[in-house]
Amino acid sequence: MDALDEIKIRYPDKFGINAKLRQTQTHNPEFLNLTLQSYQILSFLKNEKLSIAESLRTNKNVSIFAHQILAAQRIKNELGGTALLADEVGLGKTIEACIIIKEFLTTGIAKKILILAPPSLLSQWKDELASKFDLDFINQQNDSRFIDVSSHDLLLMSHASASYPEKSKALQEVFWDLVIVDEAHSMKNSATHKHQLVKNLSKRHLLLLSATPIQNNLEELYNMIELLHPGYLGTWNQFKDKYALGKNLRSINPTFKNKLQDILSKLIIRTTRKEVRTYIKFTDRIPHTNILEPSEKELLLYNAITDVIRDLYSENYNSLALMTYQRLASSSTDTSKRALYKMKMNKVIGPEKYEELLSFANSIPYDSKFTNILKHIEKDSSKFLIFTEFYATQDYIAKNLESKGFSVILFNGKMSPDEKYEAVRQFKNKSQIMISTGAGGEGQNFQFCHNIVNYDLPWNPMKVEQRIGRVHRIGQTDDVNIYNYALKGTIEAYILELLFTKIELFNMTLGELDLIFEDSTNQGLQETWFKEYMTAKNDIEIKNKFSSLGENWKKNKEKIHETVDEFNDDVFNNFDLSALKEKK
Amino acid sequence: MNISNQIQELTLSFFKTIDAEIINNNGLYDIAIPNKYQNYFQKSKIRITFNEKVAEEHNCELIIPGSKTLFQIITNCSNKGPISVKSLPGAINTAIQYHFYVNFSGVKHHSQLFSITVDIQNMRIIEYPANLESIDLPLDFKLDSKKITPSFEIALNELKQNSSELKSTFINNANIDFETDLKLFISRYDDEIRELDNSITKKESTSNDFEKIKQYRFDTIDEIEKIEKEKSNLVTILQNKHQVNFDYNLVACEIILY
Repeated sequence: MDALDEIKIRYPDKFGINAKLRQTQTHNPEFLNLTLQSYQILSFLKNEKLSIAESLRTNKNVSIFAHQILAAQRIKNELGGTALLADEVGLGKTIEACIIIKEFLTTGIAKKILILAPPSLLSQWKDELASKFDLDFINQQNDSRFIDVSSHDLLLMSHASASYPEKSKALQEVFWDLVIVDEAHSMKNSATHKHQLVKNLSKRHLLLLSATPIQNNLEELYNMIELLHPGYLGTWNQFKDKYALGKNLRSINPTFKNKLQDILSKLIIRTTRKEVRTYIKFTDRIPHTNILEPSEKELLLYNAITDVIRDLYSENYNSLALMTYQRLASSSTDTSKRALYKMKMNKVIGPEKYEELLSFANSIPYDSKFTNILKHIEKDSSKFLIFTEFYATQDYIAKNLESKGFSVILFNGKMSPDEKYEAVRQFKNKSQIMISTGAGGEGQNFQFCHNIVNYDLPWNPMKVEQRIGRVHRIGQTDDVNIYNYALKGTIEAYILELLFTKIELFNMTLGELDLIFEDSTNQGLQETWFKEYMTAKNDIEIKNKFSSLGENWKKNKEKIHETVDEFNDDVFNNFDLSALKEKK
Repeated sequence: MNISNQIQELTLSFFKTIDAEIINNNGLYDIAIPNKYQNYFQKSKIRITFNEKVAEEHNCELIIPGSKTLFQIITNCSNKGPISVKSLPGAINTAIQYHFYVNFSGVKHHSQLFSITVDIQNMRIIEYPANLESIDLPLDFKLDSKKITPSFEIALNELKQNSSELKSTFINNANIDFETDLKLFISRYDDEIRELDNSITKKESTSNDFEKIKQYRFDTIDEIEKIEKEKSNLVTILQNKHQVNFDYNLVACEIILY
């Protein structure tokens, strides 16, 4: 068997002691003692395990990997609990932060903890903290127990809510022992409210989490480090003059590379996927996009509802209500019936039209989507997780699958935590198929399943990714099949094509999506799609409009990829910042 | 001394050394930071304790591994590279004590402080003299600069010898860990290759269709080559993961007059 072929030995004199000796430059003897004591303590700390190490090892609710424990250990023991955690995507930065939280709470280092995350990730945080670490955080967004920011020791808030002047002021009045900022690249610009918010919080420890902390130039790195340790790098001009090279400020001056390595290794931890490949298997995502030809009746029903919506849209009717009708009409026959009922109740269609279209809907035996999915499930006995946005569609699929003899379990936002736990257990041990609503999917982990069905499509790319993320995460051992469904000519078919063919959403991560859509609010995105669909005169025009939207995002995506990759090559890959081993 | 006591001693000594005002009220320390250090600590007053109960009661910072103030103190102290002077009355000889922080890192980690004293007149390693006292360097004192580099080299050689056993043990253990990983991860590829090899033999013995056998053989050989490549990549990854680094950092010095 081979032995290690390379051993690096260095004899650094990084403080220039030999030169100081030549100049007989001496210091207060007290400092010598303090220095030696510091190194003695450092030696101890480098080998000091977390106080919760044993409980982590025996925690059956979560699989914890070596790099996660080592990262948490380094952050606590060597980086003073303040760091930029920049692991590549999919390595479990959230888990690493949760370990730190648990350790800090257990040892008494922290009592008041604030987590700031994008709104779409709050539920996931809440759930991971509760289910894996037994920590009950208050989610300011939707927890009925929330009083005000000063009343809770463990608080979760969205970046956006926290940046509102009123909330921001209230947050600054509290002293936080630990602040964690997820997707912290959104704080990269020092002129933004978000950056200012984090900068002005009274805090002892700060953890910034981002797989892509720098997208454009070294100034972003400087801005992030300024949040961690204000003044540590001097002024921006001093830093830039010393370390940056070239006009675009993306390259490091080789003369000071070692010095910068030394600085960054005390501030940043970045483990790469390559380093953990020996013990983590990364699997692929295989999208199967099915834009099906609707049956004649399905087409007539959809068009009839859409025509009514289009007329109302041109009359400036409430667009939110119209979007709901349109989404219902696209999901399933049962939700189309629901749309018709709502339209009748809101008097946008008369009782006769309602009865006519309802009897039409009732004459559709099976949805084309259902028939197609059935074929896949009949051929494959492995587990399937079917997602829908609507309870009516959930019931429709469940009823029809059960009638075909399949074992089905439901999962949705109406269920209590105990019921949800039981449903996951049943799906894991007994049922072949779980049907989950969008809300139910957040925060749950289903790595034991590798087939996802998007029966309908949330009009929000982040939500689509979150659905996939339930299954395609650390611990998944198979490639994940993603079956996407839409009927030809429906708005969902255009959105699906846009997301699938143009920006290849299914191969992207939450972090990347966050970057691409960071300037578009969820509501804004949906309204844009809906407006383009409603105002187009024919299919060709819809196609053109969606194609042009796609081109913009595609360009945005390529630009982001290009700059992030270039920067990683030029900067991060030059340094060893891994938790797995330490080079200086 | 246990680590908690070491941490307490370092923290309090540090604040004393920088002339901070310290008020101890039953284990609750109120520290007024001098102007010079206020920017570094980002505040003018710090309230700390070394006792968990006091921290709970007064909601103040508990100084234990992981605490911010401790980190700031260690960072400050370990970045100075200080040189001090100690002397015996009527000293006639000069020596330099070099303090090295030795850091062995790989998948595992070991670090230790080594102190080596070299008499710079006769370039010999000496025992650290007893009863030395800290002094200010006499105004007429001159350290012969030509002797600094050779004395440093002697200290380094001594350091290498003193740490050689530790180094060998570390390398041996690193090799054992590497081999264990190698066995664990590489055997999977070897099994796969063996299975594919066997499948060719099986195909040849069970099929009469020469073209099909030929095609199968080509496909399987391609597959084996792919696995071999992946295996070799993995070996490189493992080598990188287990690579051992030895850093012998010079962190402080004492000029000794004896």
